Amino acid sequence: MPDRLNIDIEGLREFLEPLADGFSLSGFGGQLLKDSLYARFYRLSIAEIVDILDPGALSEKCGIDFERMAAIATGERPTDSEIVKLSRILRKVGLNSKVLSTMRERDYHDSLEDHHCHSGASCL
Amino acid sequence: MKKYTCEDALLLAIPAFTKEALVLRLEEHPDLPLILEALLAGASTLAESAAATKRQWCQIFLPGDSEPYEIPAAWAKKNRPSPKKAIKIPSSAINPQTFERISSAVYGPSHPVINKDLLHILERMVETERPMSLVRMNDDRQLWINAPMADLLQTEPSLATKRVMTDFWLPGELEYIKIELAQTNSFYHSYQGGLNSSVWAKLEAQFEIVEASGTQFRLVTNFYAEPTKRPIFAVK
Repeated sequence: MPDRLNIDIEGLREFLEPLADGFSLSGFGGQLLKDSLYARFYRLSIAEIVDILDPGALSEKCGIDFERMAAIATGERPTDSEIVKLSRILRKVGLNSKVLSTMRERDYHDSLEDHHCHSGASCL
Repeated sequence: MKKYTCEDALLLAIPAFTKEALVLRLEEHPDLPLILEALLAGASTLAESAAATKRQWCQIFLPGDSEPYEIPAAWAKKNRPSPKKAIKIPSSAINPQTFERISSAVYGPSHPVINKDLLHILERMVETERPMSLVRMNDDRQLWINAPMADLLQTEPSLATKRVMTDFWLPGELEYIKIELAQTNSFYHSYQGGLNSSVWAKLEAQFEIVEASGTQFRLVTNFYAEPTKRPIFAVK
């Protein structure tokens, strides 16, 4: 499938161009699309993402047994190893293994005893 | 079929370092899939190695493959004392012992008024190992922090819980967070901010709107922090 889309920007050029700050609109548009996909996927659960992207196709791409992938799509908790394998594909939209494990904590209310953040952390 | 442990598999990997990652390169081998599985099964060991060498990731490359398998250093187990067990709050009234236990395990105002809603929020802060803070929305005052947050802010808790959190952001960031919270109630965000008056960091956190007695707070759970250079702001 070609990696290009012909998108109707519906009068948004005047907003896009200043934000792109001189960079090509096609490159900037690609980045916007990635950001938007990340935001959309992040709102979903891992099970929903696997279900949308087709467990069969993902199983082949990620090297996870189809039965396991189907189980994840129906709500079973992915293991660390499965998170790493999934992230190899989903990283394209920003869902790396760190983000996916955060989503797993959120989805499954994991105990936070197992994993932790880097030292020096704080938030505001 | 030979069984590989993570240690066996590590002996077959060629280690290297980049600025961000501990890199393990695997070479052609008849048992390559099994070796990869063994490494991934030892993810927490590899995460510890990455964390010990101050890298953010352990990356595993298969021969001829440019996309690595990435294990975050954040998966390394932490040498903290065991977290406190979940404390159940009676539904009808506040149990005095529970109140005492929770209120003594978080840092907050000297003479706080704690109702049941607030106690539930503080309970969440006590139960987690992640740094958490509770900031009142109407005046951006940080009223409560948990022990991990107290460690990581590198600030005396009595000072940290009196802070008005308006000057620790990149321009426009706090406004963005408020707008986003108004629309979604909860979201994950990567940003930069001040840990204290002298340390600046790249941060990742979950922001969430919570309410106690009609007052809105933002509850912040930090997932990542890496000290970085303080940006230079233009003088207005």
